[in-house]
Amino acid sequence: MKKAKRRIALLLAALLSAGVMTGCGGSPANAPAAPSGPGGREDEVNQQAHEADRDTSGTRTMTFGIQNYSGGGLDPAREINCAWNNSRYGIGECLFKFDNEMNVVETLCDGYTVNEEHTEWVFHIREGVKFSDGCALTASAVEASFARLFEAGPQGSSAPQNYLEYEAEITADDVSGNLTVKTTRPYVDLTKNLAYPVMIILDVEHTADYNHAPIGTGPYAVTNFREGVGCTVSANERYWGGNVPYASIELLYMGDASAKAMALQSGQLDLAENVTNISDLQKLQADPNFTVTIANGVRTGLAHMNMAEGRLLSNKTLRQAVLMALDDDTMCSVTVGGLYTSGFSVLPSNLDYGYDKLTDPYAFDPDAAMKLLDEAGIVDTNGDGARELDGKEVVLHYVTYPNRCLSDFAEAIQQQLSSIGIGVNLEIGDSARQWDSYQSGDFDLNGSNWTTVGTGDPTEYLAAWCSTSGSDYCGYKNDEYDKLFNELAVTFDNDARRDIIQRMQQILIDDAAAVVHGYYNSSMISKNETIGGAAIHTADYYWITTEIYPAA
Amino acid sequence: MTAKQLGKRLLQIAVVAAGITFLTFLITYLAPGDPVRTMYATAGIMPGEEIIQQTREAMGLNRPVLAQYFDWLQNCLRGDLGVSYAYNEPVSALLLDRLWPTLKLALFSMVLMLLAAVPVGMAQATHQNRALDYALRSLTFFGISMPNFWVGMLLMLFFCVRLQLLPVVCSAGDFKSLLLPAVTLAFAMSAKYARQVRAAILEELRQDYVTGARARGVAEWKVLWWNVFPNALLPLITLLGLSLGSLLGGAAVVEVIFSYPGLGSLAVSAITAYDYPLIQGYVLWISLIYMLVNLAVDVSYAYIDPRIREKRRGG
Repeated sequence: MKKAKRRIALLLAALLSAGVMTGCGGSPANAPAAPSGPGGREDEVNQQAHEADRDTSGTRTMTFGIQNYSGGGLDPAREINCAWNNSRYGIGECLFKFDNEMNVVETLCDGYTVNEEHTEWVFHIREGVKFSDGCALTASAVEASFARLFEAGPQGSSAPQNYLEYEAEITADDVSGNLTVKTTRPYVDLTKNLAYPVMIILDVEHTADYNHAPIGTGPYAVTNFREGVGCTVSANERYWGGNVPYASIELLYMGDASAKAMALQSGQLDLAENVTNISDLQKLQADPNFTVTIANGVRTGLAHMNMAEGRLLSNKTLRQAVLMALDDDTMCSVTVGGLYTSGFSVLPSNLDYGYDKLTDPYAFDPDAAMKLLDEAGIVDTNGDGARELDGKEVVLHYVTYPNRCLSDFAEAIQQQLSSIGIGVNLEIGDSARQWDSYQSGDFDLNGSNWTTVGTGDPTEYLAAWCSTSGSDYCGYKNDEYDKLFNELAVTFDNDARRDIIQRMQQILIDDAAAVVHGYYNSSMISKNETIGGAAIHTADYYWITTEIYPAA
Repeated sequence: MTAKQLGKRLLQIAVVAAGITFLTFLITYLAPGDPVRTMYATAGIMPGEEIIQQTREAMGLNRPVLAQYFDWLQNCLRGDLGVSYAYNEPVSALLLDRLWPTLKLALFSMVLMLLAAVPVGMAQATHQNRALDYALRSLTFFGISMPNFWVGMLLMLFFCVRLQLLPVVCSAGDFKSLLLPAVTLAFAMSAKYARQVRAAILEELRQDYVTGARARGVAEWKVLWWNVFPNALLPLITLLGLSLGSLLGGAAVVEVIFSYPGLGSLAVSAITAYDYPLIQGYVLWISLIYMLVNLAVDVSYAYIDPRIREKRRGG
């Protein structure tokens, strides 16, 4: 008996030490290694087309110039930017991800069911997935990752409760591989919330430093984090999605857009994201040594109109004239050099919300705008060049800040409106001042750039025009719009939701409720000699993917 | 400087530093803007007021300003400068991380500046109102007028893009990475200092001891370098102290352009993000370093100028 006990003890000790030595049974974490096998997620046609140009040795490295957001931190519980960094650098993945139409695609989850009330969701966790440290991704690991997020959430500012309520009851069954999430209120589509980078799944059992070295399931893992300089990510040899093209990628923080362009031209960078200086971008586009991909993102550049009682823009005729006086096409293509795609709805035209079916009754026509104002009695009675409305000079207070060309739009709008007798008092401050004016209501036009479908759904963004939402910064009131907005909260069918959202857009267009500049285009610039397959995604959350490969 | 005088100066430094940090704290809080809203705006998100308030609460921003300041001061006296909102790292660690690169850049650019400014200023003084003086004067005007970022961009275009000799991203920490930011900084500084050197040398050249030395047949170069130059150093040292103090606070624009990881770019990111603890830590650092460098300059006078030394001895 004693011998048997000793044998069992020895066996346990051996197993334990093996476990300690190898972590979860894998070789040392994050070691750069040869690619693990044939591509799983890579689009086959695309793969064949590029096979000849591709270096498949898996030994190559590349240098990527990026903007430093929030010190490059990587802890999704701490700040939204950190969650985005984590996803953008190819470190962590969510249960789902967004495709270029912002539809969800199963990622670490390979199937799910939901009850009729949309309060109980059962997610099946994909088998065979491992974290970069070799530990298996199980339902329990996902549960632990969410538990840590909820525990750390209140200390950070990424507000995970926005995506999944703290009250949600999460249970894991490792035998079936199912994760059950029961919520106290119905979620229209929880999969979209779980695709948001804040909900990235990390190995909480072994991650010691979430902000600098989180352990995820993505194609790359952080091997060297240098504060203020950048970080190195190396191939995750256990990546479940197939071939990881680079042995390592050097990410370098860069603050200046022109410097990014010069670093590409000098050969110091192979890849850069978002060169936002128009002349530099055009130069790179004209250079045959570089490939510039530009894509409509999910951001709309617009100026919210303050339609609250007593404000000038509570007058619908004036709003209509404002819209008709603005040449959006020229502003987008010339003033901001193509960094925006013009459009007239508050939701980007590339998203699946029926943009093509919308009609714009206030297309650019400055003569018609002036006629409209004259007929409405909004005329210049004292001959000072500015029209008057109810005895008050029509001078609009336009607040904005210099971000993503917003101030360029504001200046162009100021000029165009002055040509029809509408004055603009332009205030270009910082983002905080711009936001403060939302709160105080001290604006007529408020220029900003919003992510419209952060979680693949525009409900939160559309709340800005719903008088009962608590986020109505525009003083707008339309009963039909409010009714449709409230309907959205209880409509689970995707087609029905799409129809409601399309109708809501048309109401806003008809009511001339916002000055839409256009839809912000993101860019990715790669050096043809060294890089293939680099493209910017619609969702701003994915930069480094296995689609980027070394040119042979 | 006696020990008593030194103690008095150090006490003054502590009081001034405390005053500066209080004013900064007050101004930062009174200024329009909010770190929470800025953070969400960066991500293009417009959360409801409830989330904003929850986040403010979590960050301790809903407490009275004075309570926040005294807490900060108390922790500061214990060596804890708080944790950066943007980096989620202790402020002291972030400042220390950036200290060495900043120090390297400051010292190297000072050396380059002196290597350029002293000979140019000397040449101007010894060729006063002649062709060389006029030519060099135009050059120094040009140097002073050119903004740093523009010089940096031109150097980058030439040395990095055209010749491909030096890196655009200067964050590697090696000598090559130091070169362009240092030359950029030294460019404008040397133009300014060359004019100062010229003026100081001309002032000394008019002194009787120079006439005496020349009358004794001392070689002109000896007069210039052995007699005139050391005496002209005194006013220059004060200026050097001011420049070094400001360089040790980081050179924001140049650091951003060259992606150089110094204190200047850290300060820019702190201000952009309304990162109050980091702004406070940075201001404390820059005020201390400024005052300490100037104290060192004052102390050095006694060693450089024997007249001051003798006067202090009561002679």
